[in-house]
Amino acid sequence: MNENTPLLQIRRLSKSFGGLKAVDAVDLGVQPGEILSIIGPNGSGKTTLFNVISGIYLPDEGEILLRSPDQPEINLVGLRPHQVTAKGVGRTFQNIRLFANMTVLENVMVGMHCRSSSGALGAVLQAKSARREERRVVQESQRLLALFHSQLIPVMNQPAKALPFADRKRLEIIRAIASEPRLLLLDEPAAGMNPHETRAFMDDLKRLRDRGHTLMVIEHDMMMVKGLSDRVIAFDYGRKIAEGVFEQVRRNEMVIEAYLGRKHGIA
Amino acid sequence: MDVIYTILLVFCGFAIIVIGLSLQHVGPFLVFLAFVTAGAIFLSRLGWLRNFRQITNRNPRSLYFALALCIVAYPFIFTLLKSAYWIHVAAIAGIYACLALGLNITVGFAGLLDLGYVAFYAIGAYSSAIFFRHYPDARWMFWVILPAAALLAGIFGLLLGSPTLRLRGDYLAIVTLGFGQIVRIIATNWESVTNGPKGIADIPGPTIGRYSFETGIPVGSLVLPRVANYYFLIVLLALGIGVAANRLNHSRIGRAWIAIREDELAASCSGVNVTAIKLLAFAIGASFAGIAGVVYSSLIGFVDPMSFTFMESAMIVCMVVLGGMGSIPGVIVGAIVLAILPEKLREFEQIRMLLFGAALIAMMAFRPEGLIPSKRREQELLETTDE
Amino acid sequence: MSPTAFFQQLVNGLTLGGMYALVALGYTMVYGIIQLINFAHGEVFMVGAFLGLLALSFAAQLGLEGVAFTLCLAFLVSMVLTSLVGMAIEHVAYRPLRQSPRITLLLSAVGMSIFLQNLVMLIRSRDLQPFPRIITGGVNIQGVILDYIQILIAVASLVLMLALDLFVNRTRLGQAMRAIAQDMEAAQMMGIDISHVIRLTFMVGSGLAAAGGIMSGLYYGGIKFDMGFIVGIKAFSAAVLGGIGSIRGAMLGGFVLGLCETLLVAFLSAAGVTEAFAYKDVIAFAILILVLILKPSGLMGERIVEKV
Repeated sequence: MNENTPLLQIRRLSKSFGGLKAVDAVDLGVQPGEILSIIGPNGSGKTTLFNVISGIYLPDEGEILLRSPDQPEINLVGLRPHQVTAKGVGRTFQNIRLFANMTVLENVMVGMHCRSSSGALGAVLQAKSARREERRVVQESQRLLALFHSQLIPVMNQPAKALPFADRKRLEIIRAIASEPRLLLLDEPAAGMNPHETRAFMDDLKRLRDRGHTLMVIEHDMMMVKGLSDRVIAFDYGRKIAEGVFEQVRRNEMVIEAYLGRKHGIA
Repeated sequence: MDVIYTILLVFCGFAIIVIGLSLQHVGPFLVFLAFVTAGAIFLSRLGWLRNFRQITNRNPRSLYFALALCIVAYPFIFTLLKSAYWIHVAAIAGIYACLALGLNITVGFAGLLDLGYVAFYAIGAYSSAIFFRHYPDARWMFWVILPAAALLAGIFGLLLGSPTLRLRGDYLAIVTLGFGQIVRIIATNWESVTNGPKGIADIPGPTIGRYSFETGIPVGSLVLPRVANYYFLIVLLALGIGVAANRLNHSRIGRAWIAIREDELAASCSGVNVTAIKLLAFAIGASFAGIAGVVYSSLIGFVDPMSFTFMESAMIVCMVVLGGMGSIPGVIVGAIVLAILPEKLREFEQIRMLLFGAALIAMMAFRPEGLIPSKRREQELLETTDE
Repeated sequence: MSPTAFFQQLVNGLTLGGMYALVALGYTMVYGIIQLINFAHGEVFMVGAFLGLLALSFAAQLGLEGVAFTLCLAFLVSMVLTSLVGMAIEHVAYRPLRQSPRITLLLSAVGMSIFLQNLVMLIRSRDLQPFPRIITGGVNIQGVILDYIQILIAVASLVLMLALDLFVNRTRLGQAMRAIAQDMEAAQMMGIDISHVIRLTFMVGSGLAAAGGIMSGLYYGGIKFDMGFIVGIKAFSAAVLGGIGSIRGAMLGGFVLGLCETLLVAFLSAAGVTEAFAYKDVIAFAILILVLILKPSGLMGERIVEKV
């Protein structure tokens, strides 16, 4: 296995709903340590791709190979979402899905579920190992809460729904990070943020890469895509229509047509 | 100072309960009940109830001490008052508390509606009844049957849950409803084993060495009635189950239950094995009912299929809902109130279930979080979803 | 089992299936539109039977004559009144909770179910109430006895189902129902009065259940306050078997379940299993579990994919 082996390799992946091909024979690779942006008009199959990777949908065909430290490759197809997460792929959702009535801290602790192992018996008997693990989970979760900025620490015992919008987005990412993913799928992380927040957020995401996470980001905000991405892949009608660095993709005729042909312009 | 307040508060509450129970006629009792309710509402309007709660929260030790004292004093007081019956009622209330705590794990924590919960109770009760029907002299075996029945009920929970829990929550509700019926139908018709509709009688009480639960407890010049043995056993079991439920609630497993209840998909993508964790809730709840069933069969000495109807399941659901889904003190109070009230209001026996039905609808409309809500559940049920 | 006995059981099974189907329709319609298991629906079936009995005894008191006339009257009165009961149930137990978590609704439904059972028990009686057997006799076709009541049940349930199918597929209101089942929000934006259509769904489903209730009374000759409980579970199983949310599925599921139950009991009894009849209620449940394991979407249902 050399340095150029992709972390994630998708081959001929397809998923259709009824007659609609939401993802159509897609091939793509994600290199370790990069930030890969996925762009494309609404309904072009980006979120479906994420849902297939994370095990929510079963693809009709194709394979999703994840490079793994202990074994050469794992095919993620057929695994259920929690198994995909355990293999090291975390994700966030387009419309934030926090556990709204759990506290900020508890949200992160749930994220560590697959990286801890105490069972019911340990909890009932308050076994030493269970208590030790619980302490570790609390400490680690608190440490993670300080990942982006320190403002989440003082509110860690508040319910998650009390957080302002941008912090809820951050919390959702921290919850995903808590499962120690090697690959992190972010579905429109900057949606709903103002330009000022977006800029701050971009730095946060870069910090994630510096921490060793590989990022795959669905994003509409072209300023964000430009400033963040190592590579960009454009989707249209479930197909990959362009791939390369931001400038290349931006100039690609098919991409321009995909956007201008309908309603969007590209920056 | 707080310590004294706490103890006084608990004693006052206990005195109210004792006075209420010793009022023999329904008229005075209703007047008393009305006064107590009005008093409680008045105090809560003044904000005093919250103050009381804060004071007791600050002094958990003195609270538990005072409660323990009252619980121990209870059978003595009613032995002196020569009404052993209320010790029996308290023992039954304790069994319901165990059941409500178990159902609370399924319904309150994991958010899975189990409408056939009484089936697991029946499995526990019949395990012990069938065993003692064949070996009436092996009375010490009670202590083996107790955990074995918990295990058996848990296994039945797994068997029932595994095909259903992968699906939407509503299916579980109706499948459990059906399962409750099936267990009853089998208990009625499998005569060779269950003795059919006639039921199994003469289930003996347990022994510990030479000590038998069938004799009274002599304490000085006083002799506590036979049922006091069960009273103390049930208090200990309920305590154990309550502590277990509380520890689970604050563990990795408990967090996963609540996460599933809040957002199943997000929980799954956060690495929670949704099916396994739901099954666990279901099985643990079932095993608590199995324990309650064994104790019930020994206390009453008799089991028959009619003790395990849907109305019994509905009653336990009411206890959980009235007390507050997910709230451990809540469901205990709910169980005690709903177990004792019908005993005091025998005149209204006929309309009891009618009132429960109406109360359930009203609770859902006006106070879905219950009388003593769990903190988290309160937030959840009071919000109007904006989806 | 002889062919004659087999055909006899086939007829009996189809009769039973017709009744299950009528009740199953109410479950599936409500589920299709608001994704709620209406736990009180079995009780609606029971209330329908009691209102039918009331109408019949009222007609007898008034001295009305003619079996066909009084029967039509009983069906009409009971179906109309029961649909009003259905409307009231929706209004009291479900409407105030439309924005609440799912479990709140389910519990409210359970409360309604307990309430109705006990209400009827208190008003009427704990005991089995005799239902006038006003249709007797039958025809003998080569040893297979077709009771007139069975013919009536078959014809009436088929007519009602046909009417429902036409209503749902051919009228504006039916179209609105299907639209809401597809996408409530979009339907609302298209100007459909959601509340009105939900109310109507409950009314139609309740009316059909009432018809089933009267048929059950006529067939068995007696009704009881808790009769809706088991029928409710079975009809729900039929709805799941057919594919919950699918109207034609519920009809199919009802007949399949009725047949399975009757034939299995007959076969087992013929094979010497004497307790088979006592366990007949277990069969529906076993089928429900099997369907949930093997094909949760049912015979005619569509795969449900959660929107992410």
